[in-house]
Amino acid sequence: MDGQGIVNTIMTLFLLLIFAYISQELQIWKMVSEIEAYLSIFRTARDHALGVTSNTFKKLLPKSNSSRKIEYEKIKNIDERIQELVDLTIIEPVNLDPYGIVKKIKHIILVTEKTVENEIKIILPNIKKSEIKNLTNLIDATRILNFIYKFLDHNYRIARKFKSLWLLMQIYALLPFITQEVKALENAIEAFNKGLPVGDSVGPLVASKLIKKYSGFENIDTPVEDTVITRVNIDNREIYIVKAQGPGGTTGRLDDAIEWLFNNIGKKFSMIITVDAALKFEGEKSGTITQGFGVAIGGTGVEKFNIEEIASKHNIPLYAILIKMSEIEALSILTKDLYEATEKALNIIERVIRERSVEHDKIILVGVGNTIGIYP
Amino acid sequence: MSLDEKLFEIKRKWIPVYFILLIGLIILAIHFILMAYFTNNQDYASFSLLTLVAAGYIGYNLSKFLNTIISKYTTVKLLTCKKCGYSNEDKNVDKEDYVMKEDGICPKCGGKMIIEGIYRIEEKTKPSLLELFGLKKKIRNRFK
Ligand SMILES: [Zn+2]
Repeated sequence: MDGQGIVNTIMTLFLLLIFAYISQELQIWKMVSEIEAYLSIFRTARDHALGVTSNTFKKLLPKSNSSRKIEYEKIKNIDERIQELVDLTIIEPVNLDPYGIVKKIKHIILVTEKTVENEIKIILPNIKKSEIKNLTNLIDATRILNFIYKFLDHNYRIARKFKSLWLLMQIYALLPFITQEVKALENAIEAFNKGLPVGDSVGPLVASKLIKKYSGFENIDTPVEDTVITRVNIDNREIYIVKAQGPGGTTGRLDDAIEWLFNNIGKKFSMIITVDAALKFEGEKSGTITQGFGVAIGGTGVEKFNIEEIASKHNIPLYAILIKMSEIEALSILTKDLYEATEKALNIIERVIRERSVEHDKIILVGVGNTIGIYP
Repeated sequence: MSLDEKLFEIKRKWIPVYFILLIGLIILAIHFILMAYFTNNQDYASFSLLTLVAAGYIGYNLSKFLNTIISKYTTVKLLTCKKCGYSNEDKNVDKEDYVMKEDGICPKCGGKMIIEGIYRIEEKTKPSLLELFGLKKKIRNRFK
């Protein structure tokens, strides 16, 4: 190899290195610009949610003839209070020794719920209970949006600071999932603000339809807070229908209601049926109904745990009817497909009751989900 | 502005750029093909092939933009008569409305109507070329 050849080889290698470097820089630049665009979208989503929440509060503010200055002070005060509620942090109990942790989680959740509701009552003293529930939902959704934005922004800043390609890549890879969630929450803000049923409300909607069809409106009782229980007769079986109390947006205390039934009606139930929304896979059609075994309740897992406990203790079969939908649909105003699916679910429940029980059996049916916009 | 709309706005900014690039690449490709034909030079043939591939790629991306489907939703309440079972969809959904609320009188028999369900109906529309190029400001209204 002569001198010219070596120089040429080195030049080629050098060029290759430069190209590799440039292509990596380009990739980083592309990721950074896209993450920044999404971050700004998430921030507007958060700000929009905050705006909607504070506007809703202000609209519900009682009219008074006090001077403009006092009114201004009031409104400023409300914005501060809302910001406080949005910034609330819920600290999970320590799970080093998990025995009895469910009770602790339940306690913390109940305290949070109560406190937020009381805070809202202090800001707006003369509003209906259902409105308090809807405002709580609105604040919850805003809180999650706020958290998502802050969390992503934090990670992005760290990644930029340390010029870490790997951190950027991780954020970049998560973007589709986060966008999905933000979209869902943004739609939820609209639904909660208007107090209309969302996809997650299919469970309570099915329960409500059953109550109407078998005229159970007369027997309605609320022994447990935020939860209604009623008794209907389907094909000579006693059906106890449990659902959250509407039309305010709440998921109720279904486990407490079932415990109440066991303590007051008797221990001899032939089955517990739960109806709930479930996440579909991308390829599945919305509104598909599948049956399952077990307790179909999402969320923290507290209610699921408690119902499983009581059912396994008394050896009661657990059946589940699941209505499939996407994450976005679950938090957006109910679609027609899902509404039609509730009719189908009704037929399936009637069939399950007829086929898996005999006359004079006692059955518990639970409509799981947020009952926003659905009575009773 | 919904999130979908914002994402669409961000993507839309690139459409004119893509379009100009596509036209430029096609002109270049034609030029190379003609040169290859008249000069019989092999290099021109390979250049034309490269530019055609690039034009194809950009054209594919552009066609994806042009096929963007925008969904429009209308929320309705399904009212049914308790007496005769007559039902109709009503677009005037109020903030106070909820499922199983008595609402209005049946136009057929005069019985009480009940809200059987509240849901939204999806309507899919394709924005026209003018809207995509930002020459017509109709898109914003479509989302409302
Ligand atoms: Zn009628």
